[in-house]
Amino acid sequence: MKYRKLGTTDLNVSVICLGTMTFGEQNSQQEGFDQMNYALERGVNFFDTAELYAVMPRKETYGKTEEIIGNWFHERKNRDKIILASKIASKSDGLEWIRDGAENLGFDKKNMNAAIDASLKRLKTDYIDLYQLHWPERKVPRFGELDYKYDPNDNKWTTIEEVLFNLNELVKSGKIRNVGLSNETPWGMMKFLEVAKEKNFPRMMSIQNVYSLVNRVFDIGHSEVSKAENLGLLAYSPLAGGRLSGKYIGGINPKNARYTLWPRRFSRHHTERGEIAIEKYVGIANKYGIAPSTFANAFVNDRPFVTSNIIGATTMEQLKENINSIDLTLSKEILDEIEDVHLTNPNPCV
Amino acid sequence: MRYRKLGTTDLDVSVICLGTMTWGEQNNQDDGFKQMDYAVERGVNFFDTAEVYSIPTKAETYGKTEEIIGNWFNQNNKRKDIILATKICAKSDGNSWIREGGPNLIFDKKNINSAIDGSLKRLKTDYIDLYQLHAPERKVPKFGQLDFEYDPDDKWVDLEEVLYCLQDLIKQGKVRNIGVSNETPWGVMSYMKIAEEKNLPRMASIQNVYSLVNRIFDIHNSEVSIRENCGLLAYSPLAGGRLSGKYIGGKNPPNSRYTLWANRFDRHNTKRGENAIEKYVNLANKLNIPPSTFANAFVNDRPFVTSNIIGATSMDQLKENIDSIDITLSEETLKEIENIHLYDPNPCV
Repeated sequence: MKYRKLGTTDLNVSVICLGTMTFGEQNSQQEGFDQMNYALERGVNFFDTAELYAVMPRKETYGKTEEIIGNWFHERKNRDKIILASKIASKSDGLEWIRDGAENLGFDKKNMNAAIDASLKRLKTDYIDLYQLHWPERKVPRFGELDYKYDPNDNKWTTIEEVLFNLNELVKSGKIRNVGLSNETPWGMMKFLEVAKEKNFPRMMSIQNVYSLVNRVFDIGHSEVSKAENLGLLAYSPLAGGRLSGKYIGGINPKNARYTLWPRRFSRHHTERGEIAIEKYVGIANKYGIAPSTFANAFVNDRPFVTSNIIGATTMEQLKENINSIDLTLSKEILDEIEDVHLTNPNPCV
Repeated sequence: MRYRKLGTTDLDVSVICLGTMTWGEQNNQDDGFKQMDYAVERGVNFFDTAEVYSIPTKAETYGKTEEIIGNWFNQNNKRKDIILATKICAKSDGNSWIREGGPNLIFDKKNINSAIDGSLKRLKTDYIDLYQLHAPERKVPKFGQLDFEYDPDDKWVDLEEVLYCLQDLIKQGKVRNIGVSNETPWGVMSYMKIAEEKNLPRMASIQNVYSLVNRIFDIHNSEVSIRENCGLLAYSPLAGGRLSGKYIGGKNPPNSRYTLWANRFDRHNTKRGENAIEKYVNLANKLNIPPSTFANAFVNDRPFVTSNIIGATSMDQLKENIDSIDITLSEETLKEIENIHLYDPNPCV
């Protein structure tokens, strides 16, 4: 395993981070335990979860993933071996089952205090290493949207100063140790850092955004911010919802796979342009005798702005292939071939 | 004509800005004079130029465009009626004929002081309304590049020092406002932060490429632009003329840019781009709007645009471009544009 510093903290997180959103839906508790055991054995010390998991989010499975992780900590007595990241849910059109629901979710004091206490309880721990804002309260390009769209009426979000004040209270109380962003924009990254510096509030240590061979929007505007400000990327969906494994090529619907179970969800990764690009990337991987999922993860692992790559799996075989990417360095020749595919059809799965 | 505030200044600039880079190369001084006369008649009060013009850049035509504008001011005493924008040339591999050349064109005191004096002299004026940094000194995605590529060895003059040098020019009265060009979200946000922290001048605008076929600005810059009140001065709104449709089907009209310099400006000449351009031109034709008027109208009304920098080599083109100010695209048309855009976004980066 390789390790990198998380922002300006002294934490060394593994470059492979274990994603957990399938625990409690596509995977049982036992499968989750097996995955955590195996990941830990392979040197993974960084787990990422969220209050709203398992995914697909629904009332019955809200908090289920955190519970499974909490049960594992309890059984194995190894909370101290893991750098644990979770997230507070934000304003949305759905999620009626979380606190006062949907439009009332946000990063105000009331939501934040309730969210952290419930997460800690489910996780059976008294601190979270990295507490992330799952997505901005303000309207920004969401899953599947490329462009920022200005809405002059979007002005009811908690100010950045107030959010940081609330997070600072959690840090002071010992419930969280570091804070991070997710699904953020360059403006948001810069603003959080600026206000933190001005008011001596906690500094954001990471940004968790989507990033894969078929969605490299982060390369355009975020990556410079990330490098210049030491705010590394925790990349999610490095396989574009599993599609970069090649298992769906030619219209195949493998059993228990995400797009077989929910054909119309996660459609950001399932596009006509995307399928063309995916076939090309899988072709390059095959040409070099590399498992396509290992190949796609290796690309993400070594991007200069990536702190850690959040992999996910529903089988042990997948988990192994994903973690194996840590031992693979793509050659200059392969990277050039990737760049050619990218530039003829950039970011087809936004 | 319509007018908008330039950033937080009290200047009302016309939404159509007259681009000038063809004067001294594709257009002679007399053509330039006619364009300026006509634009002013139509209510345009905002001209944009650069020390490096005319285009394509070469030693023989360096400063030529500024000279033509200066001669026009001198002849008709109109300096006071125009909000004048120019730019200091940035570090590059070429431009060996400017000061100490290419790699030495950093934004230090020496370059900035020498550049402004050269521009003022050529422009026959004692002040510039908007003095822009033509491109960042640091390595950022340049013409034709989509992604930021990190280079750990990249060096540049500290942004705070750049702002001090520009503040000096303002104190001397040589410059009234400052702006950036070809900038990234990190650049704009950093300039804003330093200006506020150190009470230095604030960037009033960002001049970046923007057209139907290159809407990269929509992804990340637009939020910065709107929230920080640093509006876009859009350049290449017709993607080097290609959105007029005149090149469709492989045509090469005489005196046109891609006929004269087939291998230049290739950021706008791509296979994906040609597909998109044909769709946009068909949509304009369906609506009975000249394609160039249509493409400019789209840019004029984007919520983050302060002004749209049009350019022309003929009076007909100039008229069509300015005519866009009177067109408002319908909700239905904007949806059709969005469909074309999302099918294959930003084909001409």
